[in-house]
Amino acid sequence: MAHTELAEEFVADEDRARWHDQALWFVRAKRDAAAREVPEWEELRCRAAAIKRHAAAHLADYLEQFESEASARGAQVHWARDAAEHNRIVHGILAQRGAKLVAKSKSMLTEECGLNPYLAARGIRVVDTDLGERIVQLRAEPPSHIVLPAIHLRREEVGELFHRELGTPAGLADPERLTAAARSNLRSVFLEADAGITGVNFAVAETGGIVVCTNEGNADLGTSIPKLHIACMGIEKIVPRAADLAVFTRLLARSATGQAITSYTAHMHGPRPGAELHIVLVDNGRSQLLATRRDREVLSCIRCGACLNTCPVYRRSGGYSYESVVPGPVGSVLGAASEPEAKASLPYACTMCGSCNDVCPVRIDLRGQLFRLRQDLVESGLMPRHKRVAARLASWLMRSPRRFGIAGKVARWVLRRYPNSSALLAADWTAARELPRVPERSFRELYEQRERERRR
Amino acid sequence: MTARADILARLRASGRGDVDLPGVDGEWRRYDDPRRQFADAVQAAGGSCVFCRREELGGRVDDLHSEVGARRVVSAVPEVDGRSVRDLGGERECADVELLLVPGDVAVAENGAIWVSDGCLPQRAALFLAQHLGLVVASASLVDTMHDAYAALAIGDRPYGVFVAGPSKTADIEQCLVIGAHGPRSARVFVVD
Ligand code: SF4
Repeated sequence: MAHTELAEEFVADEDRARWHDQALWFVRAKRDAAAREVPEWEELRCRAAAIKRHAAAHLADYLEQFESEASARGAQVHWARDAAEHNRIVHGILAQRGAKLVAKSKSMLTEECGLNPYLAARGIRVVDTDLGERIVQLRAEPPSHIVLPAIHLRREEVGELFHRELGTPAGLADPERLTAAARSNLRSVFLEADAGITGVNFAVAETGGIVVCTNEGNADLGTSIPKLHIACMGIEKIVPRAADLAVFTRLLARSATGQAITSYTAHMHGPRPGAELHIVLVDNGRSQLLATRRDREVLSCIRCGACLNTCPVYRRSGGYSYESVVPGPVGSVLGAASEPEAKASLPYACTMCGSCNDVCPVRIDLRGQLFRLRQDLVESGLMPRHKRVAARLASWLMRSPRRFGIAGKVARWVLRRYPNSSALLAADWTAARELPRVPERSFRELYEQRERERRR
Repeated sequence: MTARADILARLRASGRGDVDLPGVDGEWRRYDDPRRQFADAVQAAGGSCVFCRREELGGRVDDLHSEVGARRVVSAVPEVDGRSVRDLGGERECADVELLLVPGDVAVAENGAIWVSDGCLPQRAALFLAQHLGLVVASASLVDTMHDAYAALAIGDRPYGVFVAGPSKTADIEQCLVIGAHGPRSARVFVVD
């Protein structure tokens, strides 16, 4: 379905849409304040972009280095070409050790691979331990945001859900008490889990270590009790040196939530004594994006969510309107670059305002990418028919000043006489907004008149 | 072909390009008053910070002890009395720890984070299962930014090391900040001269 159709339900509830917009704007404002605290912010962004570009260009070497360092420290490294292979590997490790209960912390990669349903179908219970992810998991929904998974829900809805699922008192909607309920409910999961699965924020080639950032401490807790830790990461998470982490940890939390740093920035080098650490390196389309130099840039993304929070379209249409694991500007680029046919409407769910470019901590040219993806869609004939016809007509009209003038005159005459006629041709545009009053004369006519008067 | 060989071959086929790796040095932030900046940052992270002399540490820890109403202290800091972390049994026993004192190696002024490694903490679970956390760090270990912190640390030396900034927290319900998500409900940093 197209983005506009998917957004329909969300925008129909005006109160919710407005509240969603403001909640995200609040996060965006916090990000701005946090970024302004750092005088060398722009320098950090440039460094981050350069480090990522370098790492992407030498990814094969760095992956090999990472593998050998990580193995030297006792971790077991696995490679997966695609989502299916990733799921098979993770399930294999769990099944071999008879694991039945898994405490999982946030990982967009496992969402991308559909790991939870895969494991559930094989009798393994996976509990998402990040509060936001737990909420959407209990509702059997995907996350609607990459950092704030339950940002689309009101506290009353969470209260009802917890009443039903966790037995909190009916009508309880106080975030503090709801969080406390989830805390005590999940404690038993942490204590009893047979394995912990985490994502990875950064992997350091130089030291073979992985870095996981959370505010709740759930990744650390989920991996410090069970004897088995499986860390799943996309191959683009590699940074060359430990010192590079300084650049990224300074940027990540400030961009994501406006904090100076997350509560916990854990560095894991090899397993806990007496435990196992498995690291699964996943390609799943990444090497293909890397092969096209133009699309390569989007793999620099550190999943901070800043481009979602600032996007005027995302804020007003909600995460589900993108029908992608990663929504918003970066999700539109990822989606349309890897599945152009299914995600053809996403590059058009963009106003070209460029705000995402300004906030992205790794300086991805999201706006430029979306613009180029539109061109690709036109060239490969994936633009919807009515848009193609309209664009061709507009281009024919605009190429001749005379035709343009006549068309303007006709349109003004028709719209003055039949103000509702626009609904026939441009229903999408006028469904939720009124056309401005049609002026008597065009700019060109006004200009000519002025010139005449001046000469007189 | 194995997945490994396959992925590496695909990556190598797309060519390297010639993008240089930037250096790590830079004109990074220097604070006129790093102690004050650090205390502010800890507070912004939801924690609290006290400065004291080494002789005073015991008394300051006692204050915290009664403030949080813990029955007893579990300590990984040699100068602080209490049950030693080394005597904690399995991970599950850590779940009963009310107040845990741990030493930090580096404190970062820009964001209030403290580096804690498993060198002093055989059960890393205790760091997250404890209801309240006290972090003890020498004032000489206070640095300005994360660049200084990573330069001072060898992160690969221990299986586990973590920057801790304040107590655990979440804002996943309507962006309302709640302190005490899964980990400690409070965190106090003692900066010792
Ligand atoms: S594209 Fe940039 S702003 Fe958007 S999530 Fe990724 S790193 Fe953050």
